[in-house]
Amino acid sequence: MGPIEALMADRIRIPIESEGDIVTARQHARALARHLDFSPSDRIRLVTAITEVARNLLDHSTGGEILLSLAAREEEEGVVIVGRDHGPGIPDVERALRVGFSTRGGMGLGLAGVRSLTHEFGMESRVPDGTTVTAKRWVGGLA
Amino acid sequence: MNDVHILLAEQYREALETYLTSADESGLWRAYDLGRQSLQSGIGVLDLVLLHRRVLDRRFEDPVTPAQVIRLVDVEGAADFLLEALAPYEMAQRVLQEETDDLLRRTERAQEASTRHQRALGRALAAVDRLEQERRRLAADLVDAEEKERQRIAAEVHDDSLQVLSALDLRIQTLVRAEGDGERRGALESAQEIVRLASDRLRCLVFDLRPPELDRVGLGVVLRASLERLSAESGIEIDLQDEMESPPPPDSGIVLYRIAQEALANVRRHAHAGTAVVTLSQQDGGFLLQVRDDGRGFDPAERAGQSSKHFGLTVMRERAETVGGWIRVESLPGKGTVVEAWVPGQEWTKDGPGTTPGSEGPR
Repeated sequence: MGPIEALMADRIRIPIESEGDIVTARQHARALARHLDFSPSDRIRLVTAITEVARNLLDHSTGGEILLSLAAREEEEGVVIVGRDHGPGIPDVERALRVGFSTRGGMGLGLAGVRSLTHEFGMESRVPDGTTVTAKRWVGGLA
Repeated sequence: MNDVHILLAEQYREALETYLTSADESGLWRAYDLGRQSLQSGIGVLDLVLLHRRVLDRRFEDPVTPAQVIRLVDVEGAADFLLEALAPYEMAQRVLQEETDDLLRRTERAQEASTRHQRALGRALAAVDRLEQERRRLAADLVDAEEKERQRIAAEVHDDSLQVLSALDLRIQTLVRAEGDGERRGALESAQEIVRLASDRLRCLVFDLRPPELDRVGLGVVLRASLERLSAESGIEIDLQDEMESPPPPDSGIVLYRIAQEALANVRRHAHAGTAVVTLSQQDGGFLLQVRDDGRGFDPAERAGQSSKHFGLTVMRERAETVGGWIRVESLPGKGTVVEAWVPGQEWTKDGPGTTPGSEGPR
């Protein structure tokens, strides 16, 4: 079953345990973006957002999974990205979204970058259950 | 270009070559990752595009096989690779834009808050200013009322009580003359002496309450009379050094006189002093009174508050301030006490602020 068929059925679930899984997630995202008629540059933005969610799962956690599904509202279509890790949760979500914050060095652009590249963004974290990031990007809309 | 940059350039070249050979998602992921590393190590977006172009240029320089020539024109693949490498730069630009907007909003809010606080502070300071003016006005009224009350009592004693005693004295005098020598005459004379003593005391009271002719005979002269009497009564040796060349304005003269009275009353009551020196001089365009004793002194810090009430310092200060002057008290246990009061030489308007170069206590 191809990614689009899987999406139509329910949603795509991609475990993120290694860098290779990031490539898989990117592949699915790119196929989905093409299917939904995203512009070439928006395609790259969507793929970038998913890449950063996946990177975040690897960098700040012991891995997790990404769920991709279609979103629809009125006459718009879009993609919902959900990233879930296996804990330990972030005590201060606001701080995690601040530029420069990273518990393991690096630029700390990650989740702030995801927020900047999507139309809707949310993050929930519960110690010790783990963190869930949800982002939506509509076809068209902001550049 | 540092070592990291050279290494990244080499990695970029290799990754692009690989991608042009087999275009797949892992090649694009590599492009993205290299772009992110470039951004992180400070390589500019233009540098990255130029690096990309140099890699392509080199492929044009030495084409080897026809297959490579065909791949040479894989412009689309090279562009996809470059776009992926640039994606982190766009992300950073967007994040910074959001941060900048947020910072501007917060700065604006902070400025508004600061403006509000400044206005509130300005209002509070104005209120403090008004209260201070009101306090000064009340203090001036109080001093004025006290002075008037003293004058009234002095006039009462002078025009009434002293007249009555004077009449009594005359009556006793008449009776004494009518008596021959004898016991009754002695008793009358002794009664007359008591009446005269009472008159003297009342005259002293009148003198204290309303120093006569301060503006005519001068502060020094009036003070000297007062000091001589105090010296005689208390046994404290009091020296007056009058170095004033011209008299102070009438209001200021009264203030200095009253402060001197208060300070000397303190010396008499509390200081246990053997000697005191009163100095009148001219300083800083005004008149300075100094009362120095060799008594037991006190610790102004320890007795702040209670001492000012106790020694009438508050009243002295209010008096000085009503004419735009100041008062300063310096004392140490065992080292005596110095009271200094300064009043301006010019008539002072109550709207102007008083100059207060010093404060109570040792500096």
